[in-house]
Amino acid sequence: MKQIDVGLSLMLEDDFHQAAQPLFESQQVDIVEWSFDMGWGRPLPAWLQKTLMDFSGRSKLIGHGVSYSTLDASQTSRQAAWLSQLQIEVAHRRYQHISEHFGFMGGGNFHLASPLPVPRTPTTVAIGQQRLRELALVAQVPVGLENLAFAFNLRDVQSQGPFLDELLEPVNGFLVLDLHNLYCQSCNFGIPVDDLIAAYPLERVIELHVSGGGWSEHPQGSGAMVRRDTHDAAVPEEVFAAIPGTIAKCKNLRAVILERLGGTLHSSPEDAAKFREDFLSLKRLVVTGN
Amino acid sequence: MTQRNSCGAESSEMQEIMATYQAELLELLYGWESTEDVCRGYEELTQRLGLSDDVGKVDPRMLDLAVHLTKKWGVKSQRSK
Repeated sequence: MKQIDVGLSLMLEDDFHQAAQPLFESQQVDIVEWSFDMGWGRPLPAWLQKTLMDFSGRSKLIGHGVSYSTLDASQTSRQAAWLSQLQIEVAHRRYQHISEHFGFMGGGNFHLASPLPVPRTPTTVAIGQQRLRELALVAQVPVGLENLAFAFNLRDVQSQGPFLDELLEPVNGFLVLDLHNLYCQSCNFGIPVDDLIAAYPLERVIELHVSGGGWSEHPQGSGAMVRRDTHDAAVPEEVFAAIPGTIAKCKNLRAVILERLGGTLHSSPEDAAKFREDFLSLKRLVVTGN
Repeated sequence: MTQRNSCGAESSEMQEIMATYQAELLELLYGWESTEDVCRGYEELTQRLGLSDDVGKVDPRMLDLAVHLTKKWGVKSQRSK
């Protein structure tokens, strides 16, 4: 059986470093994912540079962009500038594969805001396919997309799996299946997680994302709650419960990544301990299935 | 084959329509006055651009959340700068 690596999404912040350090020291982390565009234009902490070079050298570094805005229909120089930066990035570090997000960027802070969904039309499919071709040309490694949690309506939820398949087909791209994003949609639209998973092209999944999030009250105080993929809390039991079945269905899976936002691990000593406990539980689930 | 939307627009026009949709969506989210207003504005936008009826049917909770996130954390679209 092919080995499935279990790893962490790296963050710039000190609290993340302190929380994750014992996992690195005990060699529990098989692979790391780096959202390289979060680091562009700013100095990286020494520990982060060292970790990136170490995992790059061992062919255990994967990339995950956050600001390419794959389905942005406007013709600006932004994507070209992003690709130029990526060219420098991939010359400097060796990524095994590189993914981005479904949707277009409507907000400035990726983790606190969200990419916005785009209706599935022949035009939006063509825009996304072209953007992925351009990404693949620069990356020179397999490229893929991650499913989005946010949806304007049930149609967005139901069409996302086939839409992603259509986008990825010309570049034979892969899918990063984010289980907490699916959990958000399950909570917000009343659809079982298993039913959502079944609507995705699972043969394309080579990576799973696992994280926690929170609830936002309706901004106008109506009491309606919306689940959000904010990466600022422990992994919910429902997400852990979905992992073994999902692994069984994703025959090409290579990596499972735990995501936790930097700056959210210092409110109490239990935060960092729970983060490590979540990682070790995840590793146990992937390795033993329970 | 030339693609056309329900208003008969061709593919280059359709890309422009989609860019307009995204830019005006962000404007709508920034210009929020009430949930009803933004839902009505969204429906009118999708109808005006000839997008299908089901694109215009939006969950008010999610549109409200998008308003909140965009106004609190967002940057305006390239067009609206």
